[in-house]
Amino acid sequence: MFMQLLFAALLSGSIYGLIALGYSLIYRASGIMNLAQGDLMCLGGFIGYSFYAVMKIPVIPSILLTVICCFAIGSILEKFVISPIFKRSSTTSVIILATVAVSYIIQSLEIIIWGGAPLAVPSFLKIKTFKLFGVIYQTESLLTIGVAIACMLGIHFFMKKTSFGIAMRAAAMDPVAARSCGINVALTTRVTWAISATVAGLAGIMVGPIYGVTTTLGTSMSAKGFASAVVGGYGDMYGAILGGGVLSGLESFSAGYISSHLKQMIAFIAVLLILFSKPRGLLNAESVKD
Amino acid sequence: METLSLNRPRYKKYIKFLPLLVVPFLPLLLKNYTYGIMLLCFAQIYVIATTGLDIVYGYTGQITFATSAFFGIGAYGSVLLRKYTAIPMELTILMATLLSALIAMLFAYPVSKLRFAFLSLSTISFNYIFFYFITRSPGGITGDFNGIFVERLKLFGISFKESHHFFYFGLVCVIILVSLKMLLVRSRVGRAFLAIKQNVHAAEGMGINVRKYKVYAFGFYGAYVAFAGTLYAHFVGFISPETFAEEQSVLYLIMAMFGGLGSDWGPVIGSVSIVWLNDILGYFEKYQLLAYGILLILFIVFLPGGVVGEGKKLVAKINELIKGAKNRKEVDAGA
Amino acid sequence: MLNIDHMTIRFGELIAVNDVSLEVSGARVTALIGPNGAGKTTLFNGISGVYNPDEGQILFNGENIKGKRPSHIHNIGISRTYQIINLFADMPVIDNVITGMHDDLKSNFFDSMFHTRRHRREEKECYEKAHDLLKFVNLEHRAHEAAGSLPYGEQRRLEIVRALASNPKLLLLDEPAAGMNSREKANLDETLREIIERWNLSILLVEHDMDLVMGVSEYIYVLSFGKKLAEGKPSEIQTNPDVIEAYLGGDD
Repeated sequence: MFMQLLFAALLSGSIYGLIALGYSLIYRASGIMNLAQGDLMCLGGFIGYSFYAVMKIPVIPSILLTVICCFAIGSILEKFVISPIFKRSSTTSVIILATVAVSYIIQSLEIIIWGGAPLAVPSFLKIKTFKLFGVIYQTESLLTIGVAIACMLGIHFFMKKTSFGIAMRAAAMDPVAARSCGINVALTTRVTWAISATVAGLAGIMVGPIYGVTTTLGTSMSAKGFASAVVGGYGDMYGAILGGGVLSGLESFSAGYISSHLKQMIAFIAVLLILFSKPRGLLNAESVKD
Repeated sequence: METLSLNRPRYKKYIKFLPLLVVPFLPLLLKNYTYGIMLLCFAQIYVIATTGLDIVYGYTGQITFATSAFFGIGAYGSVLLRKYTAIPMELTILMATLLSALIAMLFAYPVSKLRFAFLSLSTISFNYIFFYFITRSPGGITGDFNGIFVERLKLFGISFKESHHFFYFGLVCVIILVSLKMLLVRSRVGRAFLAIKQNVHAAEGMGINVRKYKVYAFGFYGAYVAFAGTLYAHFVGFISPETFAEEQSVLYLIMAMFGGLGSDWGPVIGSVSIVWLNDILGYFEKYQLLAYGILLILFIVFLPGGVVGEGKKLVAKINELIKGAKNRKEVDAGA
Repeated sequence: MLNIDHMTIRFGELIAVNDVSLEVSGARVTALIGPNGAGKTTLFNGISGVYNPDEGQILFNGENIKGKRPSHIHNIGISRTYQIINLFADMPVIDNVITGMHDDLKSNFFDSMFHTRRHRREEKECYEKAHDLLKFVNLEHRAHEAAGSLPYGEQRRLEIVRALASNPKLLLLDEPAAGMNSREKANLDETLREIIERWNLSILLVEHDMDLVMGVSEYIYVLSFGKKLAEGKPSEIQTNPDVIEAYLGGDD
């Protein structure tokens, strides 16, 4: 039982982690939270469904096409919605409401284009299940975990080793100084949003065959991704991943050992307790503004 | 001292309220349009809730995504007390309101040290916990997902079941509660709230116990929102969990912001406009949410201060223009 | 009045204030000087409750105020200004001053909500008092402008009267002359004397402008790298070789 719960925690933790990573990146670049992050995940799932299940494009090209689409959507979102609002110097909380509006628009478009009903995505792999220590697991889940880890490592190296990643971190830390060093801050911000949307969309396409794709998942994924990012220490990339693990672990193990009815409630009570005892998250991020 | 508004002739101060005299006659004007009166009743309920939200968010600067939970504490509180005890409705409404204020204050005590994203998450979590509680209540006392039928509003022997009756009761509540908030924010307490919003370090440094005042602000918020919730439950006659879900909390924030934060009339303008707008958008059917989202973004881009905030800016600009023109005239005359 | 006894404040590895003891008393100016990064503002934050010192005691008229809330410390008579201006920027100037009187007003929640006679009387009194205070620093004509829209020097003066609004027994001034022009600086000297005379209080002054410090203070403490380097009368400090060395050796 323990192994199964751990595996379930790893699966949902890697998805929460990916969404939370998007939250952290966007917070560092723009100082706000993008409450449409969960809906971007669902949108990725729907786009992936169109390529893979409707157009019958093979798995890998389908995923790549989805990634490109999500990258474009993130850039467009930043260029045509977020950046114009910032230019009119609104307060932070007003911009956060704008991201809620974005979430409404995405949900609505999903319903208009794909209909309101949940869609089943055919399996990506020939081998549907595998057995380990007498327990049967879904292969897709393992694939999702693998892709999530690869994605996190990829972003880590991109931010630490590439000059564009370093420019992005510099711009997030001190936009004025970065600008004076010749960094195009507008561009790094846009790319940050694009990467965040891509990571979320990738999570969406990967979970398609496991959970199916639905519109309604978006809001709760936004909340859980946000919870992960904040609990870990808002703005910290590694905190986001840690937070995802903590939240999914809480859910999974309380479902297994206490009650699956109460798992969400227990998880959120635990989130509150963590916040009360660690008001700045598990990994104390210095970047959090007062 | 001529700058002090205290010494201005009184009638001038009140002249701008004249158009409001039409409000009590609205049910007569809309006699053949009961649906319209019903919308106004809902708007009144939201005005009360949004006014409470404005105290904690507009004045004290603490963002909260838990409004629908406190709305629900009021609604379920009064309904369950009514259903399982013999307490009269006048008292169950009062008790639910006070209970909510108490819960809000207890919640605010640890929350008062949290900021921004951490504060947002704590209120989101609170709302989720409340939602999971009412959908999986012990012994199913809340009716869980099925909801629960509720006795309609009847106070001191008078029934307010019909919209055009409820309207007048709602109007009295709105007038009293909005006036109380107006008085509160123009006092020592209101100044403390604003000081915390503008500069929390300086507020604490100037002798304001920030935690204490945040707890009070949440108390008012809890009471106002829960009172609105009790009215909602007894007006509609049925409550179910969706009304109190986390997503709904955003609605109150939108109303407060649309009207203008930290203002007397913002909650009123915001609630009435958004209720009316949502109703119109209903005709767009599956494009409703899309239109809503797009309108919301347009509004944020073009009216970031809300109706009242942008209105004030406009008035200031016009005054400046007039002043400039006057000065120029004087210069011309001098030359 | 104020006795700081072996105060130490650490930030992780860094010791910002290292075993500092000092005493402030009497209706006079005591100054705290030292090169940039010597720990002067940290020490202020330790006194006013922004930081809780890791070690030591802070006695104010016999009460140990270490670890108390800043609001409590303010309300028992220690008021302060800030190095980085910390006004309520969108509030009118006069409301900034009245906010400084918060604890002296006795209106309770009931009074506030129903605007009782007591509330109305108190509001009238504090408006008058605030106008009076603004007159004292020549800001009366600005009373209804937003505090954030004032020029830098006027914001500094507003911070001073906001701190005075609560009738403190001890006033902590953190670089009041920073950002002032030379005329304003010259007036500040006079203003500080008037404050002491009118309020009969004690001032602890952190300041980089040596002309002001030497002219106005009666006793000086010198901090360097968190440690107390010297103390004495202005004449003693001016000739102290350690102090000269610290200032020349630093980047000041």
